[in-house]
Parts: sequence; C-alpha cells; structure tokens
Amino acid sequence: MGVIFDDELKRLRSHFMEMGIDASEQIYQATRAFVDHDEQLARQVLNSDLKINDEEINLEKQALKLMALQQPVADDFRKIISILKASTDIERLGDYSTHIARSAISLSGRDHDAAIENQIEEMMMIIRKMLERVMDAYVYTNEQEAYEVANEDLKVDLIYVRQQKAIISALTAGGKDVKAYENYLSVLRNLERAGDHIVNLAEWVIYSGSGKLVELNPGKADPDLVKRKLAEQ
Amino acid sequence: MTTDPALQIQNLTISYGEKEVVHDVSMKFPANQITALIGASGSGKSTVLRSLNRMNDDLATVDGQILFEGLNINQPDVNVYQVRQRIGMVFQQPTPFPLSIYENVIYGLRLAGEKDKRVLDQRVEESLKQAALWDEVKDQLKESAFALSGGQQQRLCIARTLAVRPEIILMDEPTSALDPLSTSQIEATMVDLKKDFTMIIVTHNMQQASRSADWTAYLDQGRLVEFDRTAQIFMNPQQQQTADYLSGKFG
Repeated sequence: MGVIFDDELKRLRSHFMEMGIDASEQIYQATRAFVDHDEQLARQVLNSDLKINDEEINLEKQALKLMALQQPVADDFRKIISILKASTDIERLGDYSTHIARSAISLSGRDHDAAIENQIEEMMMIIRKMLERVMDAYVYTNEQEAYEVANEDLKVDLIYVRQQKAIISALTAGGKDVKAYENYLSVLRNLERAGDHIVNLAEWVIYSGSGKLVELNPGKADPDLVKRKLAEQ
Repeated sequence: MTTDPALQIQNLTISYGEKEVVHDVSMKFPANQITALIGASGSGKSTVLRSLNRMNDDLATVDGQILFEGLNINQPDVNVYQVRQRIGMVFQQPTPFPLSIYENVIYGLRLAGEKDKRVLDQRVEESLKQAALWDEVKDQLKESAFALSGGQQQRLCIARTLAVRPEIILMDEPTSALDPLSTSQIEATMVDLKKDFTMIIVTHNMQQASRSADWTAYLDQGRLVEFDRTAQIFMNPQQQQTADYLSGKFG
C-alpha cells in the first residue's frame, strides 16, 4: 500500500492508543473512587465516559473510510480490522468504569469491608497492567506479549471467584449491610468482565500479526481451570 | 462545494459527426483537489477530459461552456496553445521524447522560447522534485529518457507537464500501463501535487479513484450519473446505478 494509506493507518493507530490510555485511566479512577469512597471522583468518571464513546465513533468512522477507500489487503487489512474490533472492547472497558463509578456513589454512606476493598484494588491493578501491556503488544504486534497478557486473566478470575464466595458466606451469616455487599459483587463482576475484554484485545493482536483467530481466555479454553486452581490453594 | 472551482463545465455536449457521445454534462472541478472521472468504456469520461484543454477540436464538435478563470475557453478565438500551457495533460502510455531526461523536462519551455540556462536548470530540478523523480535521476540528466523504467518515464512526463507551470493537470489513465509499485508512487505524487495544482483524472481503476481522489464523478453512456465527495460515492452513493457499477453488478 502507498504512503497515503500508511499515514492514515498511523493516525488511526495513534487514536486507538489514545483511546486505550483513556480507558486505562477511567478504570483506575473509577476503582480508586470506589475503594477510597470518593463520590466526587466517581462523578468525574461518569462525565468523562462520553469521551471514550466519542473516540470509538470517530475511530470507527476513520477505519470504515480507510477500508472503503484504500481497500487494504493482507496484513494491512488485518491491522484495520483488528483495530476496528478492538475499539469495541475498549469502549466496553469505559462502560465498566461507569458502572464502577455508579457503585461508588451507591456505596457512599454505607458499611465498608476493608478486606474486600483491598482485593478489588489488587484486581484493578492487575487489569490496568494487562491493559497497558496489551496496548504495547498492539503497537509492536508482539504476539508473545499478547499470550502472556491473556494468561494473566486467570489471576483476575481467581480473585473474583474467591471474593464472590466470601461475600456470599458473609451475607448468609447475616447481620451485614446487604446493599453495600451488592455493590461489592457488582464491582467485582465488572472488573472480571473488563479482564475478559482485555483478553479479547490480546486475541486481536494475534489476528493482526498472524491472521489466526484464537480463543485465549483461560477460563473458556479450560472451564474447570479456576476451580482446580482454587482447590490447589 | 467547499472550495472555488478551478474549472467548470456547463451543458457540455460532444458529438463525433452525427453521434452525440456526451450529453449535457455540467460540473465544477474544485481547486487544489483531485477529481476522478470513472465509468465503463464508452461512458464518455475520456472525451470529457480531452475537451477540457481543447484536445477534441479536430475530432469532435464540442458545445457548451468550459469556464476557466471566468473565461469560456471553448471559443474559436481562444489560443489553444495558451490553454494547454495552463491546462496540461498526462497520457495513459508514458510518452518520453527521444531526448535526454533534461531536454524532455524543458521541452515545453523551449517551445515557449525560454533560453536562460539558469531558468531551465532551476525548472528541471523543481519539476523533477515535484514529480518525485529528482533523487532517482539527478546524476543522469543528460542520459536518454528511454533508459528509465515505465514508472519513471510516466513521472518524467508528469515533470514535463509541470515544467510549464500549469494550473490544472489532466491525467488520462496515468497508471494503467504501470505495475502496482509504480502506480502507488504516482498516486503518492498526485496527492503531493495537490497543494500546487488542481488535478482531474480519468481512471478505470476504481481503487485508484477511491485511494487518491477527493471528488469522484460517475459517468454512464455520456451522462453524468453522480458527482460527489469520493468518500460519499464509495461508501454511500445516492444513485443505485452508481452502487451497481462500483460493486460490479450490471443489469
């Protein structure tokens, strides 16, 4: 392909990176607002989700135009398709941040459970690292890095299942603020789903690099994996 | 249309003898943009293009107005040589003359009577740079133009057209005789040239129109079916006929 295509692709990529960075910041801020009980920060996160939505629409327009007018083939084709598909996953990350921010607002003034909040924070740190690494893998089409990022999702799943069980036992024992724990469950679920979308991003890195469509989610590839890992511990 | 037209045709009707081949076509060609004329063989696109700098004069009857800088140049008293100096043409096949690269570039200037060596040297360098050929040929300017590859010869022909500093460049299938790499180089050159020139190209290659043109006109059997921004034509044409042509469906 010619210079025109290369320039356009470069622009598309940099917008895509920008979107990834914004999503990473959103998840971080939303989770921070949740564990720090910072309602004001949570409201800021809600306001900035619109930016990621706009970024996705602009990126899609740009990618569709590039597909229709430049009609790329082979690896150029895969690069565009993978960005187009991945942008949907990033947009979803923005949505989860919004949900987490809403939970932060809903939690304010209720009971807190420091142990669970610590785990939620740890989960968020793993996810943020995964997202940064997968964006890096995009830039360099680093398939090895993408495989490694996908495997990290197991850690996220383990925290999710463990905390979910802890919450259910606490609620069964009684005497707890049910509404507060409902928020914990929801945030855990949102972060777990965010991990799955980052695995999707890793799959698109593989497609971009080698044209292979793969399933990298450790839990999907081996449904009993999380259960076995929990039993080991 | 966001920019002023560099050239405008009004009610252009062209006939070869009794046979009318272009019917009442009106269009504005925006300045510093690339407009592509697409359509099947016999759609009249090349006939329209050639009429824009009066190259159909001896072959056909051209009725209607061709407005260039406020003047209708489709009039017998307009000097066609001056018109062609301002509205240049690059043909389908590279047409280098049996001269050196240097002499090829300044051919038009010599015809116009330019003798100053400094002016000629400077114009050769400028034109070859604009045509993205300078780096490849700067050490062999005195050698025959026939020693160049097909793609280089076509860029030389572009440089020859640029050397007389036209406002508008017409290109008739400029890459149909070239391989994909040379084609992509010419397309990149065209996009670069936009800042200084207005370009109108005829192409059979729809990807070429979609990749490089800002505006695209679809002609069918001598009629203008649709004319719009290239993105609009290729992503969401307003006429079903245009959509059918672009996707290769007919009838």
